[in-house]
Amino acid sequence: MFEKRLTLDAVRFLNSRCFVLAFHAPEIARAARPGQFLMLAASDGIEPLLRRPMAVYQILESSGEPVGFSVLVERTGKGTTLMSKMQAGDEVAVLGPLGSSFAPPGDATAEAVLVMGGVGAAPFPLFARALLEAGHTTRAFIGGRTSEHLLCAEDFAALGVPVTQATDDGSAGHHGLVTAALTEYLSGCDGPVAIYSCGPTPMMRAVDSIASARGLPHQVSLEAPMACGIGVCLSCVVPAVDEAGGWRYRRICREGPVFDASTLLWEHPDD
Amino acid sequence: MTERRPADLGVDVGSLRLKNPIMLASGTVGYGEEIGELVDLSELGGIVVKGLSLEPVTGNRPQRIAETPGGMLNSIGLQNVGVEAFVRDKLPNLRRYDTRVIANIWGKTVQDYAAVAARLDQAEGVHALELNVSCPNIKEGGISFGTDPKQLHEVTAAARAATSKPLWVKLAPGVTDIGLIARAAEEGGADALSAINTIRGMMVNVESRAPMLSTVFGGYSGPGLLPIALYLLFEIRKATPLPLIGIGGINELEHVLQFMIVGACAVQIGTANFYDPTFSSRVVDELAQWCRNHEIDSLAELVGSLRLPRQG
Repeated sequence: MFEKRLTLDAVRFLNSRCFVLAFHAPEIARAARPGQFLMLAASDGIEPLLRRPMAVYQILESSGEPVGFSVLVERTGKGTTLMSKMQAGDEVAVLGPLGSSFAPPGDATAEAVLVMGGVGAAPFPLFARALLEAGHTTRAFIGGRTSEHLLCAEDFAALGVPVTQATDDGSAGHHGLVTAALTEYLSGCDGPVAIYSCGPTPMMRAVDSIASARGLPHQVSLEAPMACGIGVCLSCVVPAVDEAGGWRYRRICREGPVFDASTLLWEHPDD
Repeated sequence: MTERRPADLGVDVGSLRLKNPIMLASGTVGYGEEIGELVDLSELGGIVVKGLSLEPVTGNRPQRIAETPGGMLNSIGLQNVGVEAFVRDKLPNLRRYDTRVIANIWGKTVQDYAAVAARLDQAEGVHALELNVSCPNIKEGGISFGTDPKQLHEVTAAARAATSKPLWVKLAPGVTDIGLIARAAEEGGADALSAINTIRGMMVNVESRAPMLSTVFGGYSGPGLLPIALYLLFEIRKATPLPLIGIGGINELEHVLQFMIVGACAVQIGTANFYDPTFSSRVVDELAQWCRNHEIDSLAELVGSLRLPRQG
């Protein structure tokens, strides 16, 4: 991991709420793996105090060499609102890359099915590229509340990855939940499939029910409020099974953000 | 032209010499493993590890933090690996560094504290113990050890009897008379006092109308603590001659200097390790530069040099 003050290269708005921040940072670009994240300061001062965790969205290349990265941000609160006002040339404190990454399917012949909701799409175009390079057939299911909340469809299209979209209000793609479209697709699959998901917790949990009902491997990328991003504040914990058959907390920032979903406990064991 | 020699930043916390007054506070750097990837711990005066108990502790259920104006709340619930696993798995890595390792310890009973202190008394590479007295005494109705002079005296004396290593007591701020508390720790046998621990606080989500923390309230830390900690340190300074370690809101050299002028011989960096993880090593360099610029040969010149205004 690297702790750097980076100069913001470019800001690109995807819609009224979502934007991409691009940085020149060859060391981070070389080190970053799909699914990892960075901690970005939203301001130079102490309001807001804590850095924001952001998934690596793109690795930017020049002459085939990794030279930078970008993050995809949705404006949802105080920190991301400040970030939406950043301009090229601004200096931003960045720590990363951090955490675990997506692993390609163990079965070399497996199709990779990526299921995402809203800004949870951010890590998947980079992972899709790695999957295609490794020879995996790859498919994307993108869900959102409205058409404005569907992200990354163009990235998958550019990679030649088929996309199925679903919106809660029917403003684009299937009218309904992305998990309904997923179920329908899986019903027609007879080859090996590996599932990957990132998005709202109810979506990931529903995807996990679908995957486990069919005995499919499922990796999930989690998010939680966190102060440090490196595993010392112990705030971003999630209950997970341990080797002894009990459970213990795992840190989303360190053992995650990508977990084998079969190790997670969606219901807290004390409930 | 002669170049001034580098400023000697060494300080004495009682019998324990630190190479400089900058330490990392308990609960903000784990056991040094992760922060060690970003900061050379050998450049620092010391590291105070995450509070250790006799047995491993799972900690509170999420949500464990909330950002606040000027700081943050935490309710981690003293999650830690337990003293045995610390000595076996974490301490060997810390011994690689040329720095002071201070073990923060806590318990639910006086006997717990004494047992953890006794275990660490034998541990090579632990240079001092720091008692976290902000936890409830389950045998005394759950009243925090650190808020009752009698209980604080008792727990300090029990730890004192269990170790010959330097014993620091980390004082909690939520008390009426911090001087009284400080004297209780001194009379119990403390070698130094660190102040302050977090202050209790809460935040509410207005949409769900639920507290932001699963435990309703938590410990407030961060920049907002600075003036409160400075004032309490000032009161503690008046109450006892023990060496003091300043903690609370430090994120600039200026803050380190303020603590030292009020009377701290060393400081601990806490929440800043989360949002500016290399601050501690930068501030060591800044302190050396400041001393050179001000022709200060020993930081002892600075400690307690507060000039009070004429009263009346």
